[in-house]
Amino acid sequence: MSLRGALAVTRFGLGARQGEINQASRDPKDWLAAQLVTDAAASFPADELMTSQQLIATALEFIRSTRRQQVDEATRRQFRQTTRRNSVSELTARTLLAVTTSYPFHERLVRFWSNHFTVAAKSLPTRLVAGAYEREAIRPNILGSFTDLAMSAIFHPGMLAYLDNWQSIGPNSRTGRRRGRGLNENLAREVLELHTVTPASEYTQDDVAAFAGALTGWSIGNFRIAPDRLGEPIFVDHFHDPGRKRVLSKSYGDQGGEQAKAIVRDLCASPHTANNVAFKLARHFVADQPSASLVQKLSDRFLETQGDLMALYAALVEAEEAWVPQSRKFKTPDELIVSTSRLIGLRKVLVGNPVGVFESFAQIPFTALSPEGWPDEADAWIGPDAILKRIEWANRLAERNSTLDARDLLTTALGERASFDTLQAVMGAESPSQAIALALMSPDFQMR
Amino acid sequence: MPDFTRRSTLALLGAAGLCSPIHAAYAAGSEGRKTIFIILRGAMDGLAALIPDDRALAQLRRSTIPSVSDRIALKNGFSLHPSLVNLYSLYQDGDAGFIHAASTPYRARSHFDGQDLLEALGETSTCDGWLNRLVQTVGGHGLAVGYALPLALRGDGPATNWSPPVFASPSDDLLNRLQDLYADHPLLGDPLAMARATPAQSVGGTKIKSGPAEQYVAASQALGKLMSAEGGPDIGMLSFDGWDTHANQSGQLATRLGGLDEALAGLKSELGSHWVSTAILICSEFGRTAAENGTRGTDHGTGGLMILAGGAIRGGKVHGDWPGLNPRDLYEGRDLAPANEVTGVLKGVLRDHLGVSRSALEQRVFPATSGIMEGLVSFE
Repeated sequence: MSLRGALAVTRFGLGARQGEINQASRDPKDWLAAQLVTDAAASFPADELMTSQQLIATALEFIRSTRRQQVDEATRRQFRQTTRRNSVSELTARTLLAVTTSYPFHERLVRFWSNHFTVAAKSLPTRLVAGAYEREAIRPNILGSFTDLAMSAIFHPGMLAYLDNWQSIGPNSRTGRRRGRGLNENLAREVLELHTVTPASEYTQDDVAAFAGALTGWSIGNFRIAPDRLGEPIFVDHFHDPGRKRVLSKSYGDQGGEQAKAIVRDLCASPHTANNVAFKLARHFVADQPSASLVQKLSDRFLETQGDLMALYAALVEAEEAWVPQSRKFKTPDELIVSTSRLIGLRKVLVGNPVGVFESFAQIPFTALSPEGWPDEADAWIGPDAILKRIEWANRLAERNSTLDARDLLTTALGERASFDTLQAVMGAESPSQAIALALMSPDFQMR
Repeated sequence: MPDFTRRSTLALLGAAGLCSPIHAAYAAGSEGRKTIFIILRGAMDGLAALIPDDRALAQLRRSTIPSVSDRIALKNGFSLHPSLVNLYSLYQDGDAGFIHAASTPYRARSHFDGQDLLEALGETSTCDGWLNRLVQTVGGHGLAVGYALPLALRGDGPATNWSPPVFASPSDDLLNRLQDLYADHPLLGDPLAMARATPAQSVGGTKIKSGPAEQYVAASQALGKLMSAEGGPDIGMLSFDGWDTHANQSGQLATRLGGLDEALAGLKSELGSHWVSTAILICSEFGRTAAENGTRGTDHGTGGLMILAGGAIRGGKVHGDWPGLNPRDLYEGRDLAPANEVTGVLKGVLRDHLGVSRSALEQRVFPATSGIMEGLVSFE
């Protein structure tokens, strides 16, 4: 076992399963590179899950029935049951895959991008569709180019619904003039601010409004418009604001739906986007305040390769800065739950309602509070209350699983990353269960 | 968990190396006077909460603003949203007031930057909040109810957070051993020491329920209980999420305003005899567009609404300036213009409520700010 093997598994992967640090130790970089293959993307057990199209159609049908007539309680209950069952299945399938996968680096990247392009439960229909969005828009696209990933995310019905674009109508479009309806600039603003160029590009309100105008028309098939394409992404000509649009000093001719796509492509190619992606990737993998040299390397590689994501990941793995022995990332609740499950088994961790454990730590997947996604810095997760809740949880797990050997757990979980202080604390525990609680709550296991 | 008294709490914080020198001299006698900051994240539509009787409003096509017959008239040029019944009765008692068109210096329209700025106020660093600097200035410690410690309370002053317990408490022995193990760790040591210092009175072990309104109410009641307990903190904070109403605003906003309204009633009843010496400061990172957008909602704007409540507040009044809603009055032709500074309001309240000098506030709590609003606190 080597220290680098342990770092590959815990920092780049999702936490060690039995024997994993041993495997990775032979050639840690190679162990990571071998995971970036399409097999990994295909390994999601999605057979029993509904597609976003099916989910949105179900939601639209339910909304229509509640508007048309009194809906009896049985129908409401059935809808609630169907949708709750789907949410629980999504969360369980996603967690199960993370806990069992032999492609944990790939899986971490899926989660990173899903958070970068957040779609979260809001009102219907987004409450249903966030899991399907991740499977359809993010998962198959993380080994290609950033532009392709961004296009598939931004124009996915999940995103069009989450950031309100499906109801945004160009003030000078046919529908806009007739019905006096207008723009919703939510998607345009968040694409600029969060997904691509960020405020560092000094975009203005006029840029936001022009981009929002270009995005009008990108909508979702519903009963009023395109009932034969219920729940599918559609472009509605008579919602689209006609005319040229000027965004970040470049003028775009009106080619209907292509106008917004041309703008997104240019945004993706911007050096500001390269910096944004480089910083977020470095922050996610290495440190809340990553070194400028690492960010620069990633940003340069992004620009040299027109946002080739495989080249970007290779630059990350090659960078010495990414392998510093000190672990500076505090695990988010989701990372703690997944890594603990990889260590001692999912069934021991998710007891009863699978949502419950995530809820206790205020991080239920697919329910981020804003389009910014889940925070990626320790400050947001390490409050006094949070640390106490982790201890309480670890203590309960330890009491229920006191037959496990804490020293074996440390070896499996941390390999050479286990510090002398942690070993000493675990060896000196007053009981087997206290030893397990100390191992799980050791700084070495709480950090990655 | 042991029941820490105020003195042992401070001793523990000091022992853990958390206490920066506390400059309580600035505010001798402020002890027992309660200050609560409530941030409404996502930008509340102030125009739909405190509705101006302004003819220009009709031009703005606001189906999202309650009709005249539904509003609660304040008979001073403004009316309240019908969900704000408790706030109205506080207003009538002189315990609630408003500042419309309030803003921080932030002029872009990003929630995240806007909230960071509102919580840091005057500092550019995002690890140092103004409420924490207030704790450092007046002494005592700060408490937030919620899972995370909000930015406004982060910093060198003693501050902690609390949320209802989910699992059984671990033994003191385990906690002691972990505290030893964390002793030299840059991240883990302080939070654990702080957590152990939080008074865990019987706040009720029930989980906070799922709806936004229920969350606001449950968090407020917990904060009221913790702050009014013997030795409880004098400075508290709550974060209410979910005010970003881009589409189909009316129902969502009514629910949230109703929750806020009940939360204020809950705070009043839990604070009990402390209510007369309490100031509650409520605001968002910015306001929303004056006109409605295309989806029966409103987009990110500029001037917002501040609500002040508590027995210490000089209420029954809309303070400050009103910029108007005529097209030429709107900021960038779209937002309620910024007419009153958030920091001016905060300073006006804190100076008179806590007896902190203006210069101390401007040196320590809100550096690089100038204006102050007068007449916000009652001296009964």
